[in-house]
Amino acid sequence: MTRSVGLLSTAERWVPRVVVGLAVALAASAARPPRDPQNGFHLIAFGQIPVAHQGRVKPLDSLARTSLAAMSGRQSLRVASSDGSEVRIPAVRWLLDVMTRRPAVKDYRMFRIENDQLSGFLGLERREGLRYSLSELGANVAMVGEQAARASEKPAGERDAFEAGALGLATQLGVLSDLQSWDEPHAVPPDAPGRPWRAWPEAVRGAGSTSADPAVRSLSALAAAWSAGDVSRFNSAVAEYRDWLDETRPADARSARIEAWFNHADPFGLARTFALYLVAFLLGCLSWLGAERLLRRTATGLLACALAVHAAGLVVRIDLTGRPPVTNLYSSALFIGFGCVALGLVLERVHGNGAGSLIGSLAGALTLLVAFGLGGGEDTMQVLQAVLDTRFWLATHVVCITLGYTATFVAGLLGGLLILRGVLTRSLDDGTFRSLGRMTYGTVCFATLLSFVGTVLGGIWADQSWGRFWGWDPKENGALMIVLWCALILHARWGGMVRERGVAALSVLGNVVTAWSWFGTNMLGVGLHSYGFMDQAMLWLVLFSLSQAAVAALAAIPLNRWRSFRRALEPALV
Amino acid sequence: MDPAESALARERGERRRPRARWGPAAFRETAAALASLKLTVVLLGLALFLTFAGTLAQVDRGIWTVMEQYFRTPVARIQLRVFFPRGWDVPGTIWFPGGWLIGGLLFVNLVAAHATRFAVAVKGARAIAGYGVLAAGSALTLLLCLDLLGVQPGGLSSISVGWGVLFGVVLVMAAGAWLLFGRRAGIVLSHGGIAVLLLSELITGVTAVEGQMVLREGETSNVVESPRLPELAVIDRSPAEYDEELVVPWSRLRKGGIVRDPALPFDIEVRDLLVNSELVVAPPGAANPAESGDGAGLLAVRRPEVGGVSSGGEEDVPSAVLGLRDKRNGASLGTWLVSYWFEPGFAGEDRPQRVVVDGRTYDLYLRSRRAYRPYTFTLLDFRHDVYPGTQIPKDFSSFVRVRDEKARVDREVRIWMNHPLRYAGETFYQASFLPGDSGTVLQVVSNPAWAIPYVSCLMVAVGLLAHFGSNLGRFLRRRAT
Repeated sequence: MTRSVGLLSTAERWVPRVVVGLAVALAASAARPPRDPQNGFHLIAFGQIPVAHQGRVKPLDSLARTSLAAMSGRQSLRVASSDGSEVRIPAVRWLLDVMTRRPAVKDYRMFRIENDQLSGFLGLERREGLRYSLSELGANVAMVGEQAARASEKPAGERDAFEAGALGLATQLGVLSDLQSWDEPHAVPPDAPGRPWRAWPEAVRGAGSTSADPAVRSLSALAAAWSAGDVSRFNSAVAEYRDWLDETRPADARSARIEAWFNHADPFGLARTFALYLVAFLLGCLSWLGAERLLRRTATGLLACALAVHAAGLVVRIDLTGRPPVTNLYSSALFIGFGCVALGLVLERVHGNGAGSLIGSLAGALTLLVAFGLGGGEDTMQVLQAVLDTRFWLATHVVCITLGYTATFVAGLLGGLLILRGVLTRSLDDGTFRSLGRMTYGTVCFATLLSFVGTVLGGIWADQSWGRFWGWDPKENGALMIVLWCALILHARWGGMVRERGVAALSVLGNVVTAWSWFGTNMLGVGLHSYGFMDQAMLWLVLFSLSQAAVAALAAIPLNRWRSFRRALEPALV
Repeated sequence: MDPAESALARERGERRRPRARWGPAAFRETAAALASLKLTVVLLGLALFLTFAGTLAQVDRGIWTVMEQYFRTPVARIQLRVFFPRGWDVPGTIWFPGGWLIGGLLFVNLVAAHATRFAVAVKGARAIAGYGVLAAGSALTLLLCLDLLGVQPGGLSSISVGWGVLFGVVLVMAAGAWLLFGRRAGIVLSHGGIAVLLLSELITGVTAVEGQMVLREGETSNVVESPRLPELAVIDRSPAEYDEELVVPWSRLRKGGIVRDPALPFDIEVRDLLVNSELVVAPPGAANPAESGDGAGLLAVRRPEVGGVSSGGEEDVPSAVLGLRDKRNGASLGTWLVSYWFEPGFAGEDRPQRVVVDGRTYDLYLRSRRAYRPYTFTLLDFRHDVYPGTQIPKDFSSFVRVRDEKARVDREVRIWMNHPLRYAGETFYQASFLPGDSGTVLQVVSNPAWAIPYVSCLMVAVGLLAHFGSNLGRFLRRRAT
């Protein structure tokens, strides 16, 4: 007996350490900067060359990934190789082929056409992946342009799926032709301080020839070498150009290098942090079945490791954008995920009952999924519209309100955990029940504070930038609804109208209010958001709300009918 | 009974019914009902629902209409259709407590709760000191609102001395609350903040005035317009030195019927009002309500009101069809179409509707309500910066020369995003611009209650932090022992 206890405690001590050590090693290896092969094309070095595109300086690697993903839905492309088999080429390679107008490009299946009416209209057979090449589109390209022109005359909200699809395809064809003509990106650095980056044709016109400007010279040498398939000339042109950039534009060269590395390391990718969160969550669930301490400690360790990677990713993003962490919906999902995990770990440290790390890992995984759905393949570090261009308010209001979302989600998850564990399992004892109740309540307090301050700061920002503290606009109303809901929970508890069970159910419904504020209000207005995405998002929002309502409804079952408590009340049956 | 339940039942047993400590029994009962937490919860729930409905209503109603119908009213009428996809067109309307009513009741509830439940626990010197410090804090807040502490709202868009002063004021109040209420000071302070915030929304709703100044490059103006408040202007240009303008406000036109006034040269019968409209060439043979002036060839077509969630920056363009009659014999002077579309400041083309009565010519315009300032603004330059290589706006700035003879002001200022100009008790914000970047639209706001939300936000933040912080501290200490 004592021996087995000793064994167990040794295992409890060492298994978590070994597993977490492995995870750290994996994370570190994923974060290692990639290297070019000795005797192949130095594509990674090429991808780190900075260019200006859509208002900001970014590496060619980012341009390649986002452009290809916008067309095909993926950041790499499957093409037929010379021996007839299929190979997957990275986005930068595709970009080089496009920019040097390789004949093979017309057979690259890079346009994803989801709408079946559109593919039917273009005479295309439906095939797996729904990706088609330029030569398959053939002469029908003109028809796409015509339909797109018609669609663009309508307001965004009145376009049907066919029209939205035609417009999207026409846009992508435009992007491709801009890349081929080198009108985009603006690849040539400014020739004097204070001047803008220039597109290639413009720079050549300005200089009179391709040999006058050093950047133009290097870029043409590079393109010529790629067209000729000359590995050594290509590599030396890349190296030469990068040396020149390091000297003349050190800041751009540095940030482009970091961003290209960030793209490669992909800390928020589904195979990285997300996987760690998922494993931590599964271990947390398994811990109810047995080996509780061992599994719980492993899960918490993995969660901390994932949080470190998550935080590192956020820090790099802050460094690259030069702005506070939340600037758009995508980054709000990342930040909310970070906040939930951090809060979960704090709760774990304080209460030590596994609940904190369990809901932290669940929230981390879910928010990364949301981020993936929002940002999948887009440039997530775009420049900001004029009114958002203020560091002070982004740092105060936006961070505060986002942390408020975080806290309400954590409270909702804790409430959900209490209800589901109590109703469906026998694992909830009296102490855990009360401790979970306290955790939920405490988190709601925290949420009230953050949402209130965040909301009022938003009002103050509005007062500062257009003279109206409170305008009852949808986003403001959404924030107000969170505050009202939190205040309602607190007052109901202070007045004895609800207790653990009630606070848990109300907190779960708080998830709906928060999701509405976060996303729902954006779906009301048509306009900047693409047709397909928001429609789909609305469906998800409705499904999410229904699921939360279902969980909250479970709490209506009286305590003595919950599986966890039935046994306690019927000792005779045990 | 479940052990968990029993613990909570004990907790519930500790709660006493709140009672007023003085006054007749009936009064005490009423005060207790008004102060009850149940009422708070119900009101918060109603407020939440109203806010939600008011948000959904903005899909097809303008923000100002929604504000009037839902929030700045004692009774709201919620159309059921807002909760369903618009295609279904669900009929029906429900009456619901409006923003004024819910806000007012919350205020009463809050005050009653503090009158009955939150007793001042201390006596003697500490109580006197507490009242004194609290009074000092309130006085400082008042001074702040009267702009006497030297805090300028413009300085609060960064970390600045202004925020330090605000914090100082709030800390004084926090100290007063602590002296009087001890452990419950946090709650008292944050409730105070909420009460102040509710009051400020009331003050803003009643007193804040918003207008616009539209300037083309090179143009000088002292006119502030309110596009949401159209007015009918009847202009007599016959005096040599000045024009004589008579205006009928939209609110009068909306009442319908016949507008009759000794000052007006004719009676005006309101035939039709269009909140948002476009003009089309009247097809030959089609019935046209207007028969005189430009209205004879053009037809005003009703357009849906611009929704609050629309992101296109569209605005409503009102029009009206008016029948004019001779004051003495009621003989018709024609049916006229007036519209923003005929107004030079709006459409860029001046198309006055000219009526001749007794040999005198009157120009009719439907235009934004105007107010005139004792100073002038000249737009020197309007700049619309985009991020290089894109159409994404990076910044909008107006370079304006402000001239005020009385105040001996003559200087150039730049007004840009997040950086408004504060001048003469009003604030000028960069709001929009004219087509082709040919001019600017400045939002002009005067809101005497601007400082209150700042103070209130800090009061609630400090109060909640203190309350939850001390609870958390106690919890952690209990666990440690």
